[in-house]
Amino acid sequence: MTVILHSGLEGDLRLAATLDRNLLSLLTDSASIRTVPGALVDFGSVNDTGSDTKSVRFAGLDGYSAMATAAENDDVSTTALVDAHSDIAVVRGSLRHDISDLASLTGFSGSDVDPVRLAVSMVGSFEKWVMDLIATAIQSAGTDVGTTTVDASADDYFDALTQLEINSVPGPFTALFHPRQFADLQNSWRSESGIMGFMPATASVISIKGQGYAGSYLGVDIYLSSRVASAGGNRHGAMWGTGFLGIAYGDPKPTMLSGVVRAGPSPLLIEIQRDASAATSEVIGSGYCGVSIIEDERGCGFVTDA
Amino acid sequence: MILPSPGLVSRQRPHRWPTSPYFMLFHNPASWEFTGGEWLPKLTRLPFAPGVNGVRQSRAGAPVDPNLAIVQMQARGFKAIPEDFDGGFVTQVPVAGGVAHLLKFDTLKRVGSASILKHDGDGYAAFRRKMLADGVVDAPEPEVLEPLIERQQARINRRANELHLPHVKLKSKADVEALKQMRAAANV
Repeated sequence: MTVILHSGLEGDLRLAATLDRNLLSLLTDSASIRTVPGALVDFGSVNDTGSDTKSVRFAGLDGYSAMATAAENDDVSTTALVDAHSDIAVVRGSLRHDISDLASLTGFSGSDVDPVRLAVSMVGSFEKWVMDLIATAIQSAGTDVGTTTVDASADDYFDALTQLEINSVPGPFTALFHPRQFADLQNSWRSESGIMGFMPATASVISIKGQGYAGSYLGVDIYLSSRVASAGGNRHGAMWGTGFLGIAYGDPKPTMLSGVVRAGPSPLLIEIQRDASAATSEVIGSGYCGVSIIEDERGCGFVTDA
Repeated sequence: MILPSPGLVSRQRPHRWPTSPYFMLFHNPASWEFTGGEWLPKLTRLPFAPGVNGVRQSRAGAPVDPNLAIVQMQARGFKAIPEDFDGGFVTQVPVAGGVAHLLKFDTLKRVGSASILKHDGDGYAAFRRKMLADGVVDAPEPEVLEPLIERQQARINRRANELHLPHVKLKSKADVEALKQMRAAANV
């Protein structure tokens, strides 16, 4: 009796392996705090300003200088107005993927890598680049808490919060930590008692706030990102109030962009360019953005062991 | 048996580590840390990353323009550490995707397919000690250190009513000892 075996059919009637129709994304940290209310102050676009750099102006008004008691007939002296500025330079971030027609046409329709899917993917790449800018910017915070190469602890967290309170920083408070820092913090929090409980993010809250939201502790919304820089044996996170970080954009308007409808100004432009002689589609994303610390006193670095 | 030929180099994958731009170090006169029984300056980085803190981009192949950012750091009260101090402090390491600029006390080491960052804490402490000795960074005023000492005192106070717990008692004992050393080193 001759049994028809799969192993006997392989090569002619059966395949050793087939491709599953599902196309899954590789694990990546796609957290972004760009649009989290209070995390960054949006200073708009540099379009039509004559510069790629936005100078944010500050003036000591509305109580910055307090009145002083004076006698009824004193000729009081003048007080100079305190002013300052901070610069946000808008730069280009970009990514390009080329895909040949053959690579594209052999894919499964609706669930494969093709020019359209690559174009959609550019949104995540843009957000990741902006997170890089944010994580790099907070490295330059003027004051910080934590001790070099010592694990993050509840004490460091309290120190950061105290620093903001001493500086009279108004909320809401946001913290951006590396997941390693957060893991160390949780270890430390577990030994805390009383009302010092951590409120972890629930599924419903994550669905509102997006990936990266870890929870809230003592009124601070905590976000995690693997983009938080590692240097000198430490991770450079930060905790801050509104007005610490500023962001500015550029809205690309290529003159050849005819026949394309855009919903409104956007810092991200994705174009598909044909190289017909090479039978290849080039998918190019260009984003224009800049992030700066605009008022140092409103934030505090959180520098702890990597 | 195949013997390696002279001049051959091994094929080694670049480190799996994120690229990072060149950076300058700055010191905020109010930023200090107590480590190893002494007060050492805490240093802040200004990465030359276009789009960050006022660092401007330039055309392809040209260096970025950090001038605005450097001036801004100085306006915020930071003092720049000379880039040639101690023979320079930035090293370049080739990584997947480009180059990582590291502090010279940081090295990348391969562990399996991953890479880890090794930090020479003693070397970094000596580097900062030299800054003080050479006058690159001014010695801290006691008034600057006082808030940091108060912070340590607050840590101890916070645990005062939990000293019956063995792990808290142990931690508190270490904190009290550190507080004594902090005060002695700060002359307050």
